[in-house]
This record gives sequence, C-alpha cells and structure tokens, in this order.
Amino acid sequence: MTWFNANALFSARATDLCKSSDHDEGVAGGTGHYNGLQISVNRTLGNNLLVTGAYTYSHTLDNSNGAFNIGTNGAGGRFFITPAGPSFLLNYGNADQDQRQAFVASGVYNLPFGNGQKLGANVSRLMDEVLGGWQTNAIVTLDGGTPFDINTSGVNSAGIDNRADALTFQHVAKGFVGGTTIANRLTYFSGTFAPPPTISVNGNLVYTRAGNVDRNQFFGPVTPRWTSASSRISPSRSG
Amino acid sequence: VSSVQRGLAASTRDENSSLIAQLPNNQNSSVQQYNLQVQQQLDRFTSVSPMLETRAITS
Repeated sequence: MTWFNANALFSARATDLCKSSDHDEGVAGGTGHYNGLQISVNRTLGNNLLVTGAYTYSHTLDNSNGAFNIGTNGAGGRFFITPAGPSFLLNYGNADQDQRQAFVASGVYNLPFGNGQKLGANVSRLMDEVLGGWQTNAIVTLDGGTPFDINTSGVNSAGIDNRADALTFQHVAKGFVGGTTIANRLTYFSGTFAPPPTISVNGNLVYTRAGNVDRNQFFGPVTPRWTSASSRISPSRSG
Repeated sequence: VSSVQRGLAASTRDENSSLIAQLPNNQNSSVQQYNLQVQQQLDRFTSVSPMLETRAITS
C-alpha cells in the first residue's frame, strides 16, 4: 500500500473542497524489485574451528516508500505528485532498503578442554562436565552505506514536496560537522541544491516536474561498520 | 473523500481533521520470488555456495 497526501491533489487542482492538512489516501499500486547475488564459504580449520564468510551484492528498487512499509507516517512525503495526480513511474528508483553490499564473517571455536581434547583429556567425568563442551563464537558484519533522499519542502498549504534539483555535488574528505544542532556528525560530500520550477495554478503554486535528483540517489558513506563483534561461552554438549 | 465533502455546506467543510481513504478497487498484494542456489565441496574442509535471488512485490 502506498500512502500519499490526498489533500495535495485538492490543493494542486485549486479546489476549495478540503483544506485539512491530514487527508491520507492509500493506493495499492506500489511495486518493488530485489535482485541479489550471495556467496558463502564455509571452512573448518583443524578439529575445533569453523569459519564462515558471506558476501551479498544486491539492488533493490521500488516506486514508493510504501511498497515495503505500511503506514500513514509521512504520507506524501518523498513521493512526487504531479498536478494530474500521483505518478508511480516518476518515483521508481532505489528503495529505502537498497543496501548494495553486505559482508558477514563468523567463527565458532570449540575450546580444547575435556575428554577428546588436547587439554584435560583424562579428567574425571565430573570435571569433564564442568570444563568440557564449551565453545566461543564471534560475528563481524560490514555493511555498505544506506540510501537517502534530498527533498524540497512543499510549496503550498498541502505540503506537496518534491525531490530537489542538484546544482553541484562533490565528495569531500570525511570530517566532523560542528557548531550545529547535530554537531559532530560526519559529512562526506558537499553540494548545492534548489527546488524545481513552479507554476501558479489558480493561485496555488505547484511543481512543474520532479527534481533531477533520482529517488534515493545518495548513499551513506561506505565505512565498515562492526555492527556485531561478540564472543561468548556456552555449553555445546550435554550429558 | 469527494462524496463526503459534497454533502457538507461550505461553512461546515472539514478543516484540520484526519481522514483516511482507500480505493475500493485496490489490487491484491503479491510476491514472486525465485532462488537459485548451488553448493560445491571444494575439499574436505571447504564448501562454497553461491545463490541468485530475484523478488518482485506489488503492494
């Protein structure tokens, strides 16, 4: 289900039927596509260690942020609506979930204590119950950047927003941004953007076209993220 | 939305309320997914498994 601000259409058509700011209309017209290649390798090293590596390259596209998500939050947000009505074709592009690359490595190591192991092979049954059968594991995840949109604000009371026009864009060395309310966030590109041209329809401003920035055109920095790097010990056998 | 609005006098038209509408002829959601996966045992200790996946959703 794709939700958008139905009131945006009323205002765009310059009617006086409805001036509320919260009229959400749902259309089951969203589509999404995912294509991915995954490769995983498993290898045992010695008697006690199993390592696994998995890499995924994928591309996810859809025509609205509602194709995968259901809800009215942000209805109309990030969905360009033409003066003639909502256009799914204009909104087809990289999905919110379009994380192109992901790598996961994991290892499971059986600690060499207890019967049948290098250490403590001849301990009593009681000691074997305590010392033997333990393992430790670790998981490391390296994710690529996630996409985001650059939008304009609405030009009328209904708040029809739009993707922006990109005037300049360049990558810069990553550095911290300071002196703002979101101080110390990393920045990695600079650019100038502008709203697309507008026309007046019966006194209401509407955008004449979508911005030249594609949907979710920009991606977060491909900084390796160690989202999980843990090690724990647990009993791996019983009796 | 329009039918409701037409029944109201101009002085009582809806302002600043919340309304949710769904089209009566909305299509059913559907998902098509195809996976192709193979696995090769390279030696006693190593295996590799590539997989292709494609998925199409209408909602």
